[in-house]
This record gives sequence, structure tokens and C-alpha cells, in this order.
Amino acid sequence: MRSLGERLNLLRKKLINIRCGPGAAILPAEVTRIHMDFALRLKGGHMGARKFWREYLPRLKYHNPSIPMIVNRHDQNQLPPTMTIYLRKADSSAANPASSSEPIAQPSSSRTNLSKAQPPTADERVVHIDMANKHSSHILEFFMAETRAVPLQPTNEEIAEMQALETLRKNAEVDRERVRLLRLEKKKEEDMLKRARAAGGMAEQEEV
Amino acid sequence: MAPIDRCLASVARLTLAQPSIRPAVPLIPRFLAPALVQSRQASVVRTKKTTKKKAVPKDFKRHNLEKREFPQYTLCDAMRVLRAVEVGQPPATIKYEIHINLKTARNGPVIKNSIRLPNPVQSDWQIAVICPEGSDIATAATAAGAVAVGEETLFEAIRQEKIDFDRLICHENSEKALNKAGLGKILGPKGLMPSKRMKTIVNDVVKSIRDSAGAADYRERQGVIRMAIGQLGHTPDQLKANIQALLKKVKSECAEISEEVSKEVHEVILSTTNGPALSLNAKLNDPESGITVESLSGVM
Repeated sequence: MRSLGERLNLLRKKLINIRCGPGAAILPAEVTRIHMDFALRLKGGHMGARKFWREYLPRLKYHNPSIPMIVNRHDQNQLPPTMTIYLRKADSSAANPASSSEPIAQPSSSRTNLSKAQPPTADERVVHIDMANKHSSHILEFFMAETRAVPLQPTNEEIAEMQALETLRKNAEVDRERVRLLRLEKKKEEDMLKRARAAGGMAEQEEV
Repeated sequence: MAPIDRCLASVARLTLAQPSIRPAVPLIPRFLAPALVQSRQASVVRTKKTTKKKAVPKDFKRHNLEKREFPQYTLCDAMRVLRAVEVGQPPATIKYEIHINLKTARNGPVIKNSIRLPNPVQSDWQIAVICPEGSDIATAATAAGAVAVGEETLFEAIRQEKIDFDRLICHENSEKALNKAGLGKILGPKGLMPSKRMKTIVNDVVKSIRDSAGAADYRERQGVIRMAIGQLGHTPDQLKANIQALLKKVKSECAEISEEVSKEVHEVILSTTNGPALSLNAKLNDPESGITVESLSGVM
């Protein structure tokens, strides 16, 4: 079992990584759901989409836990990777707020092309982003502009945490190098002894 | 003349009988040589390592979490992180996992059982039943949802490694036939061999099928019980019900099993297939955290 300190440091790194960084933003209330559609394979400019999902979507999901973020993957590389953002229409949400709490008939994420983008409901409008041949950071820029999301700045504690983890990483690198040299020296000595023993053993055998 | 002769002879005998008069010169190399050999041997002799192996402690090491200020999370906080990590994954394939660290001795009895969770993780078990062919039991078993029924036909399929089930139940009447078939070599490594101890040789096949359909096995290994506790799509309430059911059962077993050894739950850890492991603090939600149960219930 891992020791408690090791567990803690690994967890700290993962948690701070999901809390801060590009993509950490609070989406406005009119965003109802996000749908991403791209292929399992990268051919045809699908890499940016996958990277966006892998790198930024967890942070978005962490800060907006109630917004469904659906990823639909398939094996049709000829289709352009698209992101669909469902936005509530401003006037209708004011008219009947009860409709927003209704569960949306949205199939959950799939890697077998089972959850295609649904047509928007009556009080929703959609925004499409074409993700083909775009870098993931580029897609994020588009996304932030379209949704008018508010990026979260890391708090002082989070900055301190990040710095602490950074020093930890640097110290670990130094320590790793030191231990590597120690082990190398030890191994060298052992090898030398081994060789000497092999030579000595041979001489003894000849005498007997 | 005679006395002189005798005298000479006695002198000659004397000289012959006394070997001590011989010079001791040839003896010197003898005791020099061993000295030389010995000194050579000494240069080759290995120094024996005197470091002793550390004695393994009797109990598994369990740290004091409060003293070390290890972060523990409410169920909703943990789910928020885990759902964020697993975003965009198909919810049926990703499972919540639970790890129960026990405060227990390294040797001694271990906990091993199966449980029917309130919200099953995997509901579609493929069950095969060994019972006399064409009997009432066979028809009842097929009605209860068994995928394969029979005796010799089933054995033949197993011999050809055509195993399309993941549970095997045997009726008491067919036990002899099963033992005669000698399938232990094939079924044993897969953990499918029916036995009385595992409660897979039974009298009431239908009841057993119904019990094992939603049941999941768990056992203690190295002082930790690990098992899948829920699907990613489960709501916090569903997951809570599952965790509570499991913990209740484990705790009661801990109390039962320990006559002389003590066994108790030390820490409960929740993780997912790809996610980090978060220690739980036995609360559902913290009102200060600003997340609601509803926000974690919907589609991912």
C-alpha cells in the first residue's frame, strides 16, 4: 500500500489540476448543455476536439457540475468534428422558469455513435463550433466567446498550493538524481566485487 | 671377540632404533606450505552479512488520518470530482469503486462473501445450471433466466471451452455427474467450479439464480476490501444506499468473525475506473460546499 504522504501528494496534484488552469470557468445560466461529436481516430483533424475533451472539459465540468456535457464518438472520420452548445432563449426562460428544471431527454455519452446531437427544444437555440483542424486552445477561445463564460482566477490559496507542488516537483527531481548516482556507485562497487570474486575463484580452482 | 661383536651389534641396533637423531630439515617446508595456502584462502573468504531481516509487524499499517490531517470528503464532493474526471465517458462502462481499509492482523480469518446491492452494478449475469436433463428443475431454471441447462451437453460444451456464462450453479442431484466429468481443470482457474462451500451446489436452483443475479462478490485481500459499488450514472442517493448496505454487512461480519482477533473498518475510499481515490468522511453533503444533490443526479 502507498504511504499516506505519497497518496496525499498525488491527490493534491490531481485536484489542483482539475480546479485551476485553462478551462476553469463558470458558464452563464442560459447554457443548458454541451454536446461534442468527433471520431475515435484522429484522421481528418479530430485531434483538437479530443484534446479539448481530455484537457479542458473536466475543468468545465468541475465548475459546472449540473450542466450535461455529452461526448459522442464514432468511427466516421469524414464528418467534421462539431461542438453544439444549447442556450436557453432569453425571453422564454423569464416567461416560464419551471420548464428549465424539466429533465432533458438526452442520451448520455457514448463511443459507439449512440448519442447524436439532439434537436433543440422549443426554448433553446443552438450554436455550432466547427472543431476540424483547430488546436484545442483555439477551440476553447471560440467556446468562451460564444458562451460568454467567466474565467475563474485562481485564489491565493490555490496559487500557494501550486507553488508548493512546484517546489515539491523540483526537489523530487534533485533527489531522484542524487539517488540515481548513489545507486550507480553502489552497483559499480558490487560489479567490481563480483568480477574480483569470479577471478579469485578461478585461481583457487586451478591450484586445487 | 664375542663380547666385542655383541657390543658392535648393540651399537648398530641403537643407531637404527633411534629415529630422533635424524635431522628435522625436511619438516620445515611442510608447515610452511599450509601457512601459505591459508593466507591465500583468507583473501577469498567472504564476509558473511550479519544484517537481520526486519520482523514483519503483526498488523497492517494503518495511519491515523485525523492526526495527519488527511483530507476527507463528503460523498457529493467526491462525486463532483470523479464525475468531472470521467466526463464524456459512456456511463455504463465506468464504475465507481470502493476500497474499505480494515484495521486487521496480517494473518487470521478474512472476510469473503457476496452482497445484493440495492442498485446493482452489473445486472445481466449469464448463468448456467447443471441439473438432470429434461427434468422440472431444468425447465424452472430456464424460466428463471439461465442461459444453459443440462448435464452431458453442458459438460461437452465446457470441454470444448465454449463457456458463454459467468456463473455456474449445480443441483444436488447432479453433483455425482459433475464430479465424474472431471472439469476441475477447466473450471477451477476460472473460478466457476461449483462447490458446497461457495454455495453453488444447491437444492433450490431457482432461488439461487435469483439471489446471485444481482449479487456481487467481495473479499478481503491484504487487509482491503475492493469492489465495484455503482455505475457512473448513479445518483448520490443510489450510491449512498449501496455504500451503506455494503458497510453495514462488512461491519456485522467484522463483529462476527472476531473471537480473538479484532477487525474493524478504518477508512472508506471512493474512486472510479480512471479517477483519483478520495477518502470519504461518512457524510452525504456539506451545505457550505455550494453543490446540491440534484446537480449531480442528471446526465453527465
